[in-house]
Amino acid sequence: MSDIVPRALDRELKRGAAELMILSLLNAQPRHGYDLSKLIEARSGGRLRFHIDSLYPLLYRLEERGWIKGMWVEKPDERRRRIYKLTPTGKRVLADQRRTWDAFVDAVRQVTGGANA
Amino acid sequence: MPDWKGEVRARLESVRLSPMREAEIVDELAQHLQDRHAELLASGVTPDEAVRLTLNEFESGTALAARMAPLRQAHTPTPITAAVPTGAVLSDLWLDVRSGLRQFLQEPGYAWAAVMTLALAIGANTVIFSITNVLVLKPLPIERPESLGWLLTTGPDAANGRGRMSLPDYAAYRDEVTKLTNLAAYRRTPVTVRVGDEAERLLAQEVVGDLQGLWGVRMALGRRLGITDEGPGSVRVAALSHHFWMTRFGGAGDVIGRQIFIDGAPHSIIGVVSSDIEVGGFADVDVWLPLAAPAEAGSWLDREWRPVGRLAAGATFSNVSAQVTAVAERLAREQPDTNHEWSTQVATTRNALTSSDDRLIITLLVIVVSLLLVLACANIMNLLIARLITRRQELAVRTALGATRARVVRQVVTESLLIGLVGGLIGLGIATVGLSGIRAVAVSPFFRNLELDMRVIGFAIVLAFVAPLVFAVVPTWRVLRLDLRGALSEGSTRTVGGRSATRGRSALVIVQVSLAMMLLVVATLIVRTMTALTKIDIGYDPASLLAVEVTVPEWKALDERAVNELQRQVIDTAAAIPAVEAAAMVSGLPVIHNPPTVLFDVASGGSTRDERPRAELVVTTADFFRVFQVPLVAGRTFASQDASTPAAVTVISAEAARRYWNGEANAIGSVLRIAKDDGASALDATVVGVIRDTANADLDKPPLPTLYLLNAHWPTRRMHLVVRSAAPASLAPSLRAAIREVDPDLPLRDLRPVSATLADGFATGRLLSTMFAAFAIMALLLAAAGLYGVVSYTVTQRTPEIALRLALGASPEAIARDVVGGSLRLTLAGVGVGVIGASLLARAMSSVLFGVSASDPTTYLGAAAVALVSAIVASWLPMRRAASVDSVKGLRQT
Repeated sequence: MSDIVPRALDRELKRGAAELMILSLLNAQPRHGYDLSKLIEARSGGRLRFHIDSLYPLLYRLEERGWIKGMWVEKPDERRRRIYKLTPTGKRVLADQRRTWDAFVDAVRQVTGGANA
Repeated sequence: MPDWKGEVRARLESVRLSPMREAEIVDELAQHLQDRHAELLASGVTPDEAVRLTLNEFESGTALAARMAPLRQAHTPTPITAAVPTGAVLSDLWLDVRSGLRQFLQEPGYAWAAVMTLALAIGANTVIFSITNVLVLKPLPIERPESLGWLLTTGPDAANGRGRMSLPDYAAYRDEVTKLTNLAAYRRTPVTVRVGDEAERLLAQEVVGDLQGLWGVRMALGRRLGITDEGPGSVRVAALSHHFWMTRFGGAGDVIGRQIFIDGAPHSIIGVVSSDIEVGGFADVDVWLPLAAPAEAGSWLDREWRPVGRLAAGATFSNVSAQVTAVAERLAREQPDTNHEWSTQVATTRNALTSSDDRLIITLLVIVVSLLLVLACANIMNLLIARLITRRQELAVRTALGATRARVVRQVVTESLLIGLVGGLIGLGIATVGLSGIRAVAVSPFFRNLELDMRVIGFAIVLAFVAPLVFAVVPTWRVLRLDLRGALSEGSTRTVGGRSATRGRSALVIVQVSLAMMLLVVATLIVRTMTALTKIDIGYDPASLLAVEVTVPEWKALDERAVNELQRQVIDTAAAIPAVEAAAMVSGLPVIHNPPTVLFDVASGGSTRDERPRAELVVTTADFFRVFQVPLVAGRTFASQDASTPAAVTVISAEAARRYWNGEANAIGSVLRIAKDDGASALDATVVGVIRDTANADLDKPPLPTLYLLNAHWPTRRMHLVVRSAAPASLAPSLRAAIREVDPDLPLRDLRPVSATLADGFATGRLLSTMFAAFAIMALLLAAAGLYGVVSYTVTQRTPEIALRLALGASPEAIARDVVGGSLRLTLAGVGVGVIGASLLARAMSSVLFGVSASDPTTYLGAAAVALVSAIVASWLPMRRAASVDSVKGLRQT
């Protein structure tokens, strides 16, 4: 599989894949933006990378929808950071989306995997 | 490390976030970038590469704004969400202020331009107000000044009619003018004051009559001087000024009753005058003394006294005037030697304390700085209009959301008040610097006593609040009159404003240029007057002269011969100093001191005119003409043996010879009879020589006839020792030592080069002309800035049209000519209006002009040329921009 170029990913973002990734990551634990971008890059083996000007507008959109909530957290010896966590609504949406996504991936795999099998 | 916040903020510029939200986002993204950058550095990337890679986190310059655009938070429609009147006035105000500050931070260039323009104008106005404050608004703390009548005299050659009178004059008016009660008089006189072992030369305010009671002078300590303190029989007393009490006695409370020596005589201190009298010239008075001898015994020639009295109950100024004129006429008849052709007028307190020329100058300065303020406001108005036009969409959104127009106006006015406030504060700072500069260069005590008191500060604060209202309301209203709803759909700021706004701004520029033109003309006339005055040939070269006033005090109780002998010894000792080429004494330095006027008769020879001849009397010693090197016209100057012969000789000035003998040839050998000031005796003197005229002390007046007599024949106690030397300034210590050697008790005063004293005489004029010039330059800069703003704005608006013309084959030169032509048209209109205004102003000030006429064509042409050149410079950049318009890009704007 070739690298997914960011420009293409950006288009994907609008379709919800990115949303799903972020909601999933935040479901495990609250994180700040940089943390999220690093995690996505690491977990995708460097193939997925968010531009800063894609990531944050997305976070803000999710926040406006009430799925996540950002808050400034101050820890001793650390800079003030804005940490995002999933709201109850967000959790429900995530569950929904996962189901939809799983179904979608299954469907795609059935189409494409059938050829391989 | 790059400014990460700046990077983020730049990409958010077009997004309409609330200020708080924007700050949060900037913080958050900047932190992200910083983390990334730190990580890259830690991984061993070179610093340059790290920055480049960090910036790669952005997809593009516009992506952030584009992706933020659909979000709700990006549609904070107004900087203030509470645009609708809430009724909560204070919180609205706070919102306005916050929004105003935010606007400043967003457009610091605009804010600073406006603030500094206003600050300069407020600073200039505050400086001038502090002068007005002392001169007009803060007069002496005199009780009921409106019912005081001041006696001013006019002599035959005194053009200004502000003369003083002699003690016998005063006594006559005191006894005969019944409509003025409590007539008192005062003069300034230098005295030697010894406290303990330390003697110094101080300034005394000598009074006759109950002056302190008449004025209601307040005492910090003790009692006032009264009539009973006067005269030879009484115990000699003195009152101290507040500042002298503080500096010399440390404000000690037990000073009353202490003894000090004034001119050698013991005086006991009876009081300390309150400091509120220390205004203007009164700030320099150190001690107040009652007159020691009876007024009637004074000399008729010493016209040093200023009388003032209280109008009697029911009396009017014209009642008093009638009585005063009667006395003046009687005195002129009965004392023809001294009072012929002298008249006396009654003046109000205001006219007595400031001359009409002073008031004219201050009025001019007030006009000039007011015009400057108008110019500054016009400039800010221009800036504001331009900015409001670009903000029109924002204003439109807010009106659409329910903000009333008044509310929008209030918002803009609040922002303007912020400009005013900051401008006012900086202006006060500028005024403080300006005033300390003036104090540093001024010689006149008047300027040295200028200060920023509460009233002056209050004035600056009022200006800071009023000026913004002037420059804010009109443009705001203009913009509001435009169709704001149209602005919403228009989406473009380019064509907004339209023709009428452009016309308005053009009118402003015309006003600005005309004001600048007026100030330029006024300043040029003043500067040229000053230059003409300094270029007058005063009749001698002061460069190598050092002078010191040497008085032989009466308390040394020496007779006239002894006075002469002492003066001769002083001269001889001074002349023996190796560096001294010649030494002499003179009663008053030519051009610097006003000599007394005497009447004389030509006893034999020569033709006299109908009126009695009069001349200024200068008493000298033999070498005077050698020291001053005044050229001889005919006959000879004094010889050293002249002093030892009883027959007096005189040298006269060319003007005296011309006026009274029809030329110097007739004058030589003629014998004059000069009335002495005791009124009884006279001195006969033979004319032996005629010398060239020295200038009148009033430089703008022609020279007066002058008689020179030797001190041997006309004994004078207060003389100025003058020595000629190649290095006069460095000679001062040895000259002082030489005089001390002759007699350590001789009070010395003003030991300094004559050229320095002459320069002091010009200091006030130079200071004033510097102020006028500075204000004119400021006006010119403001007008040029205004013009630049308008031309530049016009070019921006006309860019599509210019592009079209270029595309159709017009040459860039033609476009440039067009732009410059437009600005020249505006300037010429301004110059035209300015010439009219300037000629009105110049005519009003013609009485203070010298050596240049109020309608001097060179001045007007020069000012017009300067205005035009400034206009060309101001339109240079916009012109270049216009000529280099890219026709393709420009057309796309349409």
